[in-house]
Amino acid sequence: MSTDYVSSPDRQRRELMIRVACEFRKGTLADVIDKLPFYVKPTGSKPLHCCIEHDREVIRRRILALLGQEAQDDQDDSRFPHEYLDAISADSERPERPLTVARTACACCPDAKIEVVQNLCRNCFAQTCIHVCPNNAINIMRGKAFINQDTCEQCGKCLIDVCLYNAIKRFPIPCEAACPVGAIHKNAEGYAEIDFRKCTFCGKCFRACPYGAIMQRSELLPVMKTLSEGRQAVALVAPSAYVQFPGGRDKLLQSLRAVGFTDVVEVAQSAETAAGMASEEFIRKMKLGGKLVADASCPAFVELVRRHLPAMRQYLSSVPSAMAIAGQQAREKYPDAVNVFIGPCIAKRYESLSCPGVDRVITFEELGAILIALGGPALEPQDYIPQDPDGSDRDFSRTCAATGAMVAAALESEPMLELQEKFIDGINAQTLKLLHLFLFGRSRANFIEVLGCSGGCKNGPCTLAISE
Amino acid sequence: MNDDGKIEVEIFCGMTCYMLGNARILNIGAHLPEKWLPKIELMVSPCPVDCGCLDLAHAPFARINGQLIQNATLESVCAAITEIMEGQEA
Repeated sequence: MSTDYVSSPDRQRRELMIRVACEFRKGTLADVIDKLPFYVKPTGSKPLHCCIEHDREVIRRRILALLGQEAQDDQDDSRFPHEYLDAISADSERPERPLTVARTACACCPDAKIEVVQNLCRNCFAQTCIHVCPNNAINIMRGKAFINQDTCEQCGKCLIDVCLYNAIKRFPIPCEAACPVGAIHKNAEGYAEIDFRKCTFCGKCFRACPYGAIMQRSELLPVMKTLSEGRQAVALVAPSAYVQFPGGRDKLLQSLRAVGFTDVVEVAQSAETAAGMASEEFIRKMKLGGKLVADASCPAFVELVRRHLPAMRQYLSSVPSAMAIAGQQAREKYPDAVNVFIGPCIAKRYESLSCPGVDRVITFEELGAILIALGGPALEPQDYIPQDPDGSDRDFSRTCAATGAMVAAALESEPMLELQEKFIDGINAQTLKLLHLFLFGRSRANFIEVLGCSGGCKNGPCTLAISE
Repeated sequence: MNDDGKIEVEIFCGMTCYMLGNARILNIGAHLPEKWLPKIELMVSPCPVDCGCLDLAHAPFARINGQLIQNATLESVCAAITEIMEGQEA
């Protein structure tokens, strides 16, 4: 989907976050939470699905995900949102899987196929599409080209510069097409289903679904409870945050303190530490005759290696992520505090489950809702200035090159070693093939940096603003 | 129009407007003809109405030459600018 627009599912999700956060602040959430679907979709408003009742049911599912629950619970699907509220506390259990699919919202997209758009077909004399098809799957029926789906093998030869009227199109299933590892598929009933043994939590399906059927299990309310109870809380702010909020870095840091965080740790500083450790590790391994080191900054890449590229595990850097380092430092300084990582990433939610220094993860959207509910100087954008991306010399939010640059600098004192670096800017089907080349020794690179999202964390699945 | 004869485009960046779309509308320069850009003054402004960031039905807001646009989108703001520019060029 275009990044220049806030899609309708994004808008609805954000609107609900704001409403839930504001009602929580007022102390009226329990009274209104079951009525929110009716406030968002009042009688008389235009339905998106078959009827307004369906829309309201989808909204109820979104609210359940906002409460950290499965959007569609096969064990007990009859519970209303207010029934979950009492169990939510600053210490309540964290969702093991950050993603959930609401079948009610899933449109059961038709199977992926190549199809002729009938009103574009001109039944031309050339009939090139018929001639290029190696399976004789295209025929003329009632004066239009027609693809027999039983014989079509989806080779796509009819798609490439064949029809001058662009009448032949590939119709994808957006979530399936977006997933680089085949972790989401239509089940026997036609609904999208995530195979969590394969999922790397990159969030591409979450971004791709035009119905917003793939939802995040949020930790918004446990974080708000922590803040409202006056408990010690430390905000661990991702480097990509500063370009995401009006007012820029300084206002954002002030706002975090204003809404109740005891301290703010800039993860960009830990990223410098992690990059330094990665440099040392690279030099050590190369001196011992190592062939390759794969940077482990991106949690989606780490999960990709763990679940899909087992042969690459031996090359994966053992350096902890910047988030883990920042969390550990915060834990040492504030042993009793709740450490909340704030970032643009769904995979960080999953990574944080194994980081002892990180207790909660919220996204920029969720932080926005908290700032609206609790106020703060970020709401004064008069002096909006595009900021330095991460407040450090290096831009850990923008490109893949940050760690590599540090490794290159470290190698200046090691003339016998040479850095052959390769960046992979976004995980997709093509870059996955490239990663296999490294495993087969078909690349000279000895250091690779992979980021799940093209353009880096600033283009993460839960960002607010457009990055360059 | 401001004193320099430029079209005043105000994008409101209270947190609600920002979250519900104006963060993206700030990129409007990329969607307009380059020759128009010197004739446009893009401003980032605080909230236009006293909604406390809670007018979710009408946010986000933008204002073009004093005219308030509710439920602003990149498309609606571009269309309003285009109408003024084409009127000037005619």
